[in-house]
Amino acid sequence: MLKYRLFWVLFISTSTSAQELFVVTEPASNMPAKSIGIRMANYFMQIDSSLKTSYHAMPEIMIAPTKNIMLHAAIVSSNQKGGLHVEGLSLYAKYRFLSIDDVHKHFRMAAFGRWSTNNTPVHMDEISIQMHNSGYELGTVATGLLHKTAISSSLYYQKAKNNVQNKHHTDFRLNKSINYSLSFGQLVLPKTYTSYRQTNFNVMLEFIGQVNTGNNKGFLDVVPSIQAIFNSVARLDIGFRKQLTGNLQRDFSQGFIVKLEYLFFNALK
Amino acid sequence: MKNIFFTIALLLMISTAKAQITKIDLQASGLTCSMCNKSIYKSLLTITNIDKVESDLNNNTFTIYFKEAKLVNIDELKNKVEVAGYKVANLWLYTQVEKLGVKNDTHTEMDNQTFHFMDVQEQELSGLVKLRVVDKGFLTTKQYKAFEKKTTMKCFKSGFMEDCCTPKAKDKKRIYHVTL
Repeated sequence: MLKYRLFWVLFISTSTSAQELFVVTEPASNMPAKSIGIRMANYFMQIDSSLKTSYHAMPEIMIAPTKNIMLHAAIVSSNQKGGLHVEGLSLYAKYRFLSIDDVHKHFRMAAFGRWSTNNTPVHMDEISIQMHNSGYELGTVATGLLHKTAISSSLYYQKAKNNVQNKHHTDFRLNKSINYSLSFGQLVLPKTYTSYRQTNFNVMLEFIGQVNTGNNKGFLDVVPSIQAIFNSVARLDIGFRKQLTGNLQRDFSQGFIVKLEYLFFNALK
Repeated sequence: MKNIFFTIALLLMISTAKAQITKIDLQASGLTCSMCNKSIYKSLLTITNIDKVESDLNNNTFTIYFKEAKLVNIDELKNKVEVAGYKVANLWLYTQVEKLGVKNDTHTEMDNQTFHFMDVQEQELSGLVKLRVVDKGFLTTKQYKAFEKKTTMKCFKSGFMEDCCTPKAKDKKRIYHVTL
């Protein structure tokens, strides 16, 4: 009996290890103050109507002017018009307003907002201020870390405006949505740290949901992913996003996400 | 003859105050990943007086060596951890002392800094001594509250010289509250 219990104690203690650098959602935690991050996000999404793959590339710069403030700026580009064309600009800001830390654990909360402009034709009811729509989003995120397991949840409101040169919806009944996410992350390797040069591997599972307030239709996506962190500064994420359930009209309901990220410590003086 | 005894006594008194910080162990809270750990490491290295930092990634403990013991700024270490996005859970000073008399709620000058001993028995210390800083921001909130219950002294809350201090404070000098 004791052996059996010991097995479970060992199993739990070695399997509860993860991180919160999620592939789709941002955690409440910030990068270190005065650091700069660069990110290249690649989305290979299947177009539901044609089954062809569309490619979206989002180069992004992330700056942490203080320990509680994060600022991001991203360019949205895609091959939808043939070749890679710039479609928009997305600005994001996050303010961490709560931080409760203990050894090997923390609970943090942040408020965030995004403003985007986009010039693509709108022909879906799904709203994505990050990639497809002009408009803004406002929300809050809470992230908990217990040993090496991270859980994060966010709730945010999106409001789409006219895309540049393209009308969104003539009556604007469908231009608002409530969005939510629930993310789990777990550090798989290494079991024991020996140096900063060790490659870390994380596995993650994220659930992303949206409800359009105009027609009460929505979707729920799942995003399993793996992540490797090299030399404690560079990140490679590979994830697959797929709709679990939903009745909202959308152009893309599944596809691969590949992200590359690099962090420059103390880059700001 | 009287003068000789007086000189010897004076020399002994000076020797009791002789101390030198050899290193500091700092444990950070709120992190488990090596990327987070590295952000603290890089932040600490921006302090010019730091000679070397050794990092234990599994316990998030940093052993910090200094170029000049007299220029050690304990608050700056805390600030650098907080700038990286984390907090200090424990901070231990290692100091080499000779016949250092300590008593509860008394002040001792070491390396140009004032230390207020708490929760200690009256004793004389020699050799390498490990002191734990118990001021706000150097412990987890829970641990700090436990120490807060042990004293009513105003200086513990503020971290500066207050009316409760003896000798009476001339200015608002920083005092680090420590225990063994």
